[in-house]
Amino acid sequence: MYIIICLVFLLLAGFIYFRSIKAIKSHKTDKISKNYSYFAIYISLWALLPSFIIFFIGSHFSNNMLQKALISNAFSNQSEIVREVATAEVLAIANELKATGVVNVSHSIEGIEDSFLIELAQQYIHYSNISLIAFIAFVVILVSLTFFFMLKRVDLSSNFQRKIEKFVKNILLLFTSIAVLTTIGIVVSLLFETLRFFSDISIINFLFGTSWTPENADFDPENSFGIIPLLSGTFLIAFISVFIASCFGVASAVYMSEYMSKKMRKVIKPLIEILAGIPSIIYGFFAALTFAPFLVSIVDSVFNLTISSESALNAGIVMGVMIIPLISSISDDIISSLPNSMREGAMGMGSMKNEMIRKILLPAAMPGIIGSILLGISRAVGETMIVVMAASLAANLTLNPLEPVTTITTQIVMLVQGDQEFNSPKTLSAFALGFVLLILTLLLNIIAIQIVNRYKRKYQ
Amino acid sequence: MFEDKKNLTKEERSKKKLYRRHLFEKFFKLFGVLSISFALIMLVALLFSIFSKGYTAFYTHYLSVEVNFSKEVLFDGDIKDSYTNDEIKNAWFDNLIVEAVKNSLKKNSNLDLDSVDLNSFISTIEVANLRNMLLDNPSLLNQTVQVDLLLSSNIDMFLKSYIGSGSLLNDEEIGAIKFLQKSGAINSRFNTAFFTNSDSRYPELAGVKGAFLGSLYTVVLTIIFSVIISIGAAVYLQEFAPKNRFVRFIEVNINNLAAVPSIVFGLLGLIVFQQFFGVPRSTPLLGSFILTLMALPTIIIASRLAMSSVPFNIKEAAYGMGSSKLQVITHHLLPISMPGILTGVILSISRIIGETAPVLMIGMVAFISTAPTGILSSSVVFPVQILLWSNSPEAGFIEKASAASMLLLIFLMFINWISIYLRNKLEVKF
Repeated sequence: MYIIICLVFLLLAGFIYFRSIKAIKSHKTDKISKNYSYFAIYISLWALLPSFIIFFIGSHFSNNMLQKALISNAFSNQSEIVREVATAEVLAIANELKATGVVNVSHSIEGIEDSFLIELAQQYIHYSNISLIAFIAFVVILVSLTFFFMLKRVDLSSNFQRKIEKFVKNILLLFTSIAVLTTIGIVVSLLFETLRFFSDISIINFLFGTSWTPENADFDPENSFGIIPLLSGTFLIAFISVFIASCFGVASAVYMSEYMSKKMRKVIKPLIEILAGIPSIIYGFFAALTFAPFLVSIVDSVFNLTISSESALNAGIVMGVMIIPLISSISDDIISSLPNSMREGAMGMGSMKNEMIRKILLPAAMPGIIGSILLGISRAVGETMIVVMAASLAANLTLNPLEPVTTITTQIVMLVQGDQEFNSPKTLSAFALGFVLLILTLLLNIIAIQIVNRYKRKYQ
Repeated sequence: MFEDKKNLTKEERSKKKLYRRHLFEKFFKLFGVLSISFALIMLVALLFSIFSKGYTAFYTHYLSVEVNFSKEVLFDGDIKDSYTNDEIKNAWFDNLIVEAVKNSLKKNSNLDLDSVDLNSFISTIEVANLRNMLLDNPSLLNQTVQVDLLLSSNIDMFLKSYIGSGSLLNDEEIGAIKFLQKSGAINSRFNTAFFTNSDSRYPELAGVKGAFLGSLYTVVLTIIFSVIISIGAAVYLQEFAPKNRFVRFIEVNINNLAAVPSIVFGLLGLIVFQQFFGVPRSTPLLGSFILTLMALPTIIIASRLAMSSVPFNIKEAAYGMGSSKLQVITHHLLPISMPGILTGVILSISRIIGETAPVLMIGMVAFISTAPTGILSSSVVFPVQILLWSNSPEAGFIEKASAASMLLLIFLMFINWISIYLRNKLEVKF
């Protein structure tokens, strides 16, 4: 069916293209640009695009209307749920009939005969075919009408190349605005659902409540959505990971840019950057199945402490490894970009390399390094898969890294994966959490980027 | 101590200080080396733990036994000359398998076969295989054939020494397996099922085909959408955009989008695409919409960078020859900056392939035992398949998860290598 539609449109396009070239060739004025194809493309665009859009929107709506008129009316005396199920069933049968030509109905609905369903499906196919053909005919007529109208009305002496360029420019603007639309979509949709959530649960209880127990939402909704334990868990894990990543990341950046030979650096730097390319699901898998048992046994035998296998420390360390390349590569870029005169001046005064680094280079690079650390925090706060696999699912208000904690992202995954009722406070709370997450990461990012940029301007 | 310091000469004091400074320098360097080696050790540990657990999934164990298609066992005593196809379909093939395994164990007399759960030795797929064998060739009735039967996952895991003697296998069963191994009846083969099957309830039959196809559909759609949109946007911002507040707003916007956590994109897709526009849930189409939005900022930024490095005099020369803006873009700007754009596309695609959180939000996380047939059929993607398997308590699925991670890692490394190769090969230097 789609092949036929495509063929019809191709034929139309070809016809219009060559017909308009013929038209403009027969038109004898000096002013017309020699490049006839621009005129043809211009005419084709105007004749085809509107009809194309009308065709797609129209056929979509006509199918919906057909469903309502034909199928739902047939079950009008049934309850709404039965009607929905029956509609879905008839559509499924129709699809099967279209694809294979035969149909076996085994899953009948109570009170409705199978043969009736099949009959309805056949009727549906029949009418939808008729409507499709009618639509194609309508579009063909519309296209030819606009075409001849355009051919008569268009001022042949105008510059069609420029007109097409303007058209393309507008299309590109449309593409660009998708990025803006995405932002608006994120903010509006999250805000809308969050407000719906706050119409059920008071915002005070959400922001200052100390217990997160969505499983109790049915009998005590006001006190089961307190975000404090989630925030503490999120920031505990983020703190551990960023602490590890910034210690090791900055140190390795310093070593790579100041001590290492260029040859070694060419080998080591890509190796460390492999860490950034590994998907977080694999880090999560590693954290949950390899690193957690290892950490439990180490902590138990060396420090004689009991540590949960879903501890914050476990998720934090593995996440820290993931963030090392982020911090080390930004810091490395910044330290390498410091002017050589700084190094030479310090060394000339007789300082050792480490003194030069600690007292001259690092203070100069500090804003950039802090910016990279803030970026690391925002990465850690928004990271999902490691904590889904390695952190706990139950909220626990503690700052002890040996105990299990949960995070905002883990809870979002749990809440949205569960039931799909979009009215229950349980699902809506996921959007409220998403909104909090968005604001947190955006704030961190804006601050970080500002710091990094301000610093860049200073030395370049 | 104070006394000591006073007694030292100036020279000795500075020597001591110098010694301390040198010592600190050594510690400082050592810390740098240690932190680099920490990162590298973690990288090696991660790769090793995944590869060492995963490679075993590429082979599996078969038990070579003599199967006697005896009418007695198959039809539970109902002995006739010939049977209809329906009767064969409903025959007791599981008993046949138990009988065959028992026969091969009987040679070892000191085993107590009553405490051995022979039913759990062979994979359930073999019932269907034997049934098809008999349906194809009914003359096999009452004859003995040598066949290789796929061992169940527990036995396979024991042979690969993932599980020892525990709750899953009792001592008698372990004795039976060891006897079979010693008598040479167990052989290992390349595990084709891992590549030709989709997900399954049984670890020995589970494969990555469904997840691979799901990822393929999703990623191909994402590439189509995101490349068209983001190259268009980059061309607009680089060539057409006036320098006004709106355009600056768009630029800031794109930078911020790159930093939004991926799970938020999942929520966006859930509300806007699934709820508002009614795109069917857990399909590659819905997944590709979300991933396209995620890939946009990366590709736009990389493309703009590549385009801004095209020297101005090339454009000026083209304008001087009378080209229009569109001609300059399509004839000069895009071809010259293509390597840079390509690198950006490949890098963002390699991120998209491993992306899990947003597709979890739109329900691409379910047990689906058939491979997806199109962009509108329910499917899972590769990383989600890893998540599903690694959440399972069975050792067989953990092994499969490791193997799938291994494939994903190898594939991503391959892609990154291609991007580096292309960049070096195609890059035009001015």
